[in-house]
Amino acid sequence: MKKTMTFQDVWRKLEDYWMKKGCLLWHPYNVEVGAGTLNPATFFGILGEKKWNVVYLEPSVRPADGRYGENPVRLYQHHQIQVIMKPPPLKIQDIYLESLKVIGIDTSQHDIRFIEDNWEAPTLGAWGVGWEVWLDGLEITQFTYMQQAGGIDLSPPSVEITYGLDRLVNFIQKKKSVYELQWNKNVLYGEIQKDRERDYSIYSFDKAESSSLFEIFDRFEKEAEKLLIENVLYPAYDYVLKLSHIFNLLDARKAISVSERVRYISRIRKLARICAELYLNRKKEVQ
Amino acid sequence: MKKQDILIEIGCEDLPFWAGEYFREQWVPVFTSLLVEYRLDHGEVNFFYTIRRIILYIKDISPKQKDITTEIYGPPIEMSLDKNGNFKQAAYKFANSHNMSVENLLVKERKGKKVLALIKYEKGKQTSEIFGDILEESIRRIEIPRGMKWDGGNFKFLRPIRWITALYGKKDIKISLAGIKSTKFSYGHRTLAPCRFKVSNPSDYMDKVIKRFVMFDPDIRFEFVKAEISRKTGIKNFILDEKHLKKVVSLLEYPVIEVCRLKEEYLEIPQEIVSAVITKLNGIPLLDKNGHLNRNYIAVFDGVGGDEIKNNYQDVLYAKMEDALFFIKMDLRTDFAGYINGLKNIIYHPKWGSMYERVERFKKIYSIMNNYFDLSDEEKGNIYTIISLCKNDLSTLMVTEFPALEGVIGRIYAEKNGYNSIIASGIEQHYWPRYSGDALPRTKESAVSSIIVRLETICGFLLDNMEIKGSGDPYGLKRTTNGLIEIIWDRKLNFPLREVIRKILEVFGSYSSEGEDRIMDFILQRIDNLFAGEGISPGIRKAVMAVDGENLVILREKIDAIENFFKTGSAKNILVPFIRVANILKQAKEKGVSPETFEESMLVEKTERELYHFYRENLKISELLDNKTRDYVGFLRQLSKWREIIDRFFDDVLVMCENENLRNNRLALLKKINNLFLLFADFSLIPIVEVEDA
Repeated sequence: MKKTMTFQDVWRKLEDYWMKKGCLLWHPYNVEVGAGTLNPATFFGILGEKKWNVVYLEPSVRPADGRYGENPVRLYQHHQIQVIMKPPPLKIQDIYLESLKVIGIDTSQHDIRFIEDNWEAPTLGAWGVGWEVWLDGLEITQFTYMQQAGGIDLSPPSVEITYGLDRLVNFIQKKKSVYELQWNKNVLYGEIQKDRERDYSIYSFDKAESSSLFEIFDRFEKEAEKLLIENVLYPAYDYVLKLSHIFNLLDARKAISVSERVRYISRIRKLARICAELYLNRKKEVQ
Repeated sequence: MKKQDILIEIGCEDLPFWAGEYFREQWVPVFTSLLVEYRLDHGEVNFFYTIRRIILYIKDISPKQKDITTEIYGPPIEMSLDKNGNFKQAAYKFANSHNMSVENLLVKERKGKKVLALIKYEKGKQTSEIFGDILEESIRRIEIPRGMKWDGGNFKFLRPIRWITALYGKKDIKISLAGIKSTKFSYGHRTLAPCRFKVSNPSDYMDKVIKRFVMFDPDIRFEFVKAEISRKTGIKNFILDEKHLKKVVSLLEYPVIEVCRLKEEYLEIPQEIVSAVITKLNGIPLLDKNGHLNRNYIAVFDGVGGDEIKNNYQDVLYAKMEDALFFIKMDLRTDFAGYINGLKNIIYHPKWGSMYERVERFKKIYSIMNNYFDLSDEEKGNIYTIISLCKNDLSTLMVTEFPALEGVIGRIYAEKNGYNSIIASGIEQHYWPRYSGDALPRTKESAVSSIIVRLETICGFLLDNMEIKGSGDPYGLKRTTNGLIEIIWDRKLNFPLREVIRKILEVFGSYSSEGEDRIMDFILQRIDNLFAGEGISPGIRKAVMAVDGENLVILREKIDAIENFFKTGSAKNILVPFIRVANILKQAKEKGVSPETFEESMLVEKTERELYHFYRENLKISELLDNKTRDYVGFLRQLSKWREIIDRFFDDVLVMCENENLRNNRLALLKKINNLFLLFADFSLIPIVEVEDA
């Protein structure tokens, strides 16, 4: 009988595969992000013309998706394997399909489809054109040709491939719930994650104090502005990420009305845009 | 060389489901008109697509462009020749600009002037040489919605282009798009036959690609899937959503179907919800001829099948079904009426605010309109409840997750909350008809609700200076308006449209006569369009719409009456007298005569007295047009009796006689008669030839 591939096996095999394709192995970021795209390795990496290939795992935090650890697939924090390739290789679709074989999915024995789905992150002024990849109907990857970030046209575009690791392993291990997954041979996903899921859900839905979050938002925004004026880019960007997370928390608390929502998004986007411009200016000065 | 077929295949990374049909509508006509522009004769144009390729197969293209001779005119000779007939600078300039020498210049007459001229002869180029230009230009001329870049070049397309196959007969033609050069090679199905293969000519392509598991013709994929469903389920008379099936077969190259089966417990769930879940996963729900959901449903895969895939797919479906059931459970915890507050968070329109504000407008429009329709108190109460609740489901989890279920969820939740069936069904049916040919609202209450909502939509969008040009239909406004008109006709909802629109614009706090006109014009344009679609002649449409445009029921009935009456062959009996009268009034008007007063005592001739008596006796026919009576055919029948007396009048009486008083009096009488005819339509707008064959 075939050995079951554990959560950490799949994670490592995917990273190995993309490293062999020329990607740098990067690490998850140390500020809460809603998607691997916000990690500086992507947000800054995809700007400019210089070749950039990278792979990393990103724990993605989405307060509104939390389900107190009770839903088999919806999570406050799920795991993405994020791949960026700039410029996109000619056979990138084939290279991606090949990666599925590495984790034991025989692509000739499954129905693999690329279904139109254009990705957009309004807080970052980023969007792209691409697909959700379906594996026998299950959505396992977001595959995007990034067209803009920080409101800046990307030339060349990058390809961003984001695997939903939890779902993928769920499929491979044929489990009904992510909490039943083998993280390694001895430890279950639920043993390490379930409590965390519950607590973070309690925090985002029930405990988070909107009034203090609003206050923090204003303070962090000022901090980011100050740092940007002084050309201290990376700490400034960290504050942009924090703003984005606070915004998500407020959203989960349903504390932001529609008209306010648009305004908050544009406040964050404005800062993200300045970060992107600052980054590109620095690159120019180096040349 | 004889004519040959041309094949162009553009191979792409997976296209959106709508891409193929979009290219069929936008690109193919542009391409064929370019062939004409480039002076290339061609035969049948065939277009095919799959998710990974678009294919153009044109039969019998001539091997080279037609030669062409054109005469080009230059400056007049006064400017270009001196007294001795020598060329001046203007002449040299003209010749040079066309790469010719002055020896080729001729003198020609043009619009009565003598000018210099050149005969330019252009030899046609080889088809294979210019085809690349045609292809590139054809793509440049169409809009690529959300076009993307993928490799640093500036060329935008729907998805990255990965190969181009191009052949003219046996020859390959040199085409290049986005830096990709065409070859004689193509590719088979991604997983079943991934290798590239050589194509020796266009028809060879058709054979080879099909052997490599690419069913390139979407119509064949469509029919194939339908046939497979019958074969594998053994069900002969099923109904399926053909639009959805079209989408499903656009997303693959080689359809393989598997028959899946719903868990028994799902049969208890309203079938629209189950269908929506299946549809969301690109599966196909099957209905029997009574519209009941079959327990079997269809999964369509691309090139693969078998139990494992099918089971995986069913697991995904179960998970989505469980999600849906969870959403319904959560949704029903809140009182249905309470969802109105959620509408505050849904933006309807940048200028007109949230969905909540929109529902508030419905209520105001309701109070404007409820008096026109002869409604009982009970009906009024139901309508008010329908329009107050009709958008509530938009803030439920279920509709957020399954937007296609708007209305349906509203109906189901309203039923569960104990609202009566008229209200519950009205919440669903206020969306009807959703598309051309869809069912109309089944109750008076839902019909009126639908009208209120539609008028609000139309007024809101058109007030915001939205321009609707050409054949497009942004926001589905044309469809919304067509639905409005159809409901009004179906229910004979007789009300003064312009007056209502004026009041609705006040509800928006944004009245202007210009806005009012724009909205009326838009609606009338749609009506004209619907009539045209029924085959009503332009003359009849214009004639009736020139007189009536405020009340759609009257418009409808008058058009029907004319159509019916003209079928009896009596059209001329109305048109001839009307036109004789109208013509002479027109002549008089041109001469500056405007007859004002009529006096019976001034009638001198016997025939004109008879005409007047006839007029007086027949004046009461206008009662046939009363809003209560509306006997339009009867009125036309009466009008057709005028021909004899009017013919006799013009034979016996000289209208434009010397005596000014007599003349004006006669014109005044004719004007009265004219006005009587005009109560129905301006018949002068119907050309006699249009009815000649009738």
